[in-house]
Amino acid sequence: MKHEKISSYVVLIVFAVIIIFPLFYIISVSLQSFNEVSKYPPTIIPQVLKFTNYITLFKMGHFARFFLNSLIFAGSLTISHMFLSSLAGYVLAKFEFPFKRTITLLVLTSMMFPVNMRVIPVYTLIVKLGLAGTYTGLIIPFLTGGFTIFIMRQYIVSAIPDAFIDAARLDGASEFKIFWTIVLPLAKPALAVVAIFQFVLRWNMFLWPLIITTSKLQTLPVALAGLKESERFVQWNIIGAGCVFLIVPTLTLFLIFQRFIISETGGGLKF
Amino acid sequence: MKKYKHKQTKLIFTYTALIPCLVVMGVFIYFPLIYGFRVSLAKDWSLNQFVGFSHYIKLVRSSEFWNSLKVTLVFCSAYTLIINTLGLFLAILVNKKIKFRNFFRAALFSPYMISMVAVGLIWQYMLNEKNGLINYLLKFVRVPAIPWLADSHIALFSLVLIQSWTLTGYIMLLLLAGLQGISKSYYESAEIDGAGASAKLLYISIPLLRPTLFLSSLTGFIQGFVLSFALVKVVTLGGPMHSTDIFSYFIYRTAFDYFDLPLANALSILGLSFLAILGIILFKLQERSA
Repeated sequence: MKHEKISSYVVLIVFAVIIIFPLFYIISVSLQSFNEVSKYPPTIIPQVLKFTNYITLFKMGHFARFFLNSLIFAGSLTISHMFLSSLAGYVLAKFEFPFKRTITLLVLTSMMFPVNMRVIPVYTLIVKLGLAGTYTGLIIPFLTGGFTIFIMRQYIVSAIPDAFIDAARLDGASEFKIFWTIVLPLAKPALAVVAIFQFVLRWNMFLWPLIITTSKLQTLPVALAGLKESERFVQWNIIGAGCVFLIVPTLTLFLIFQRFIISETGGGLKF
Repeated sequence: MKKYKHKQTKLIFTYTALIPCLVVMGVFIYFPLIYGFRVSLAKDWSLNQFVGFSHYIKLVRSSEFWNSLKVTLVFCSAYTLIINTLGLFLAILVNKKIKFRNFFRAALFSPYMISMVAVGLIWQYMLNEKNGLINYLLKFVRVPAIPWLADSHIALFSLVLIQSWTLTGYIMLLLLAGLQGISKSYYESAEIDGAGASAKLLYISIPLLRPTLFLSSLTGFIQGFVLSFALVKVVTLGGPMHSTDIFSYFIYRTAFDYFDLPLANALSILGLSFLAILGIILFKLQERSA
């Protein structure tokens, strides 16, 4: 038995190192000087910690603006999904009505069309609506989606007893009030999962913001990719700083909320 | 009377609650399919000239199209296979009662949270043929420098490795959830019969995990399919020599390098049809074998 445990540890440690080391490495790269980052053999620990790389990043790349754009994009979609998808999920979970089967089918099949295959037709549509290069055009195609509706529905079906809802109805509460004051608070774990995954998904989203945004509206990933492409000789230390800046928000969120994603009881991926 | 009025209020609430998502889905998921098809039948996106299926014929005749399909299929099958095999292996390990297992779960999962742009840039820097860390480390085990991204025979393989690095932890968690759903009594009675670890794996875990494995394969496939665009755009730009010209990148450069929107729409429609057919086939296969 002990043999088994030790070999499990060894394997896990090896894999953990393979997975995590690049993240530490890019932090190191972001703090190296241009000479260090371009020379051979590659430096693993920088001689001097050049925090000024980050200042250069902001000056060269106007990254404050792009950070704000990403925040607006990811933030608004997170809120929108939390509200609209929980509303739709609640209704699909607890109500009976005409066309319920058709609507459920439509919601589920919408997940079958990956975003990469939809962007060109959606792009054509947004441009024709005159919304290219606007926040609106960037945001509206993704205001809600089958996946988040599905998560909310599954959770509400299993975790919220009909009794609570019926009791509130007997007390004369309006349907929306029931949703807002009873269902939503009880659905907090699912809301947390939806919120985190939406925020991370939209923060990291690349193809859509790439094609629909103009230079001022770019989100962070698009801007970083553009920054790297714009120079003949890539300054990897600055680009490294950009990478760190890009991944810190999502990794921080992950570290704070990992309980919801990883744990035995709250595992959001169990859906 | 009151009961009827109440039922009416419920119905109004129901449909009002559903209208936003139905509108968004209708306008931005279902309508674009039809609209995209319509655009693909025109000469340019002003929709003035109707050219029928000539774009589709042009695609079926172009070697770039078939190359892109081939590259995509190879790429997607490869990483899906790797992440599910490794993911299952790691899920079993991480399911055991060992210390720090939550740390391992979180650590292995973390690449999934990182923007693919950052992933691509980090790996591009490390896989540099001359100065990169990977080739430098390989020197210590006497392996010559490998042109990870510069050689047209190796580049796709490198992308498969990067994509697997990103997604293995994600699949691991999916399969872990499935593993935790298997009743311990199966394993206990097998142990009484004298089954060893590999027997338990082959005859209990894998068969009972089949629906989860199907789901994880499908999810992994789609995730990688979506995420790989950023990888290609940032790291290889479809090259060298179109060896990494995956389908979503092919669509992108048709639309924005060649500026041919109707052709790009035709490609999108073809891609969607292909995925739909694949989905149906997989679903039927899964149903039949269950």
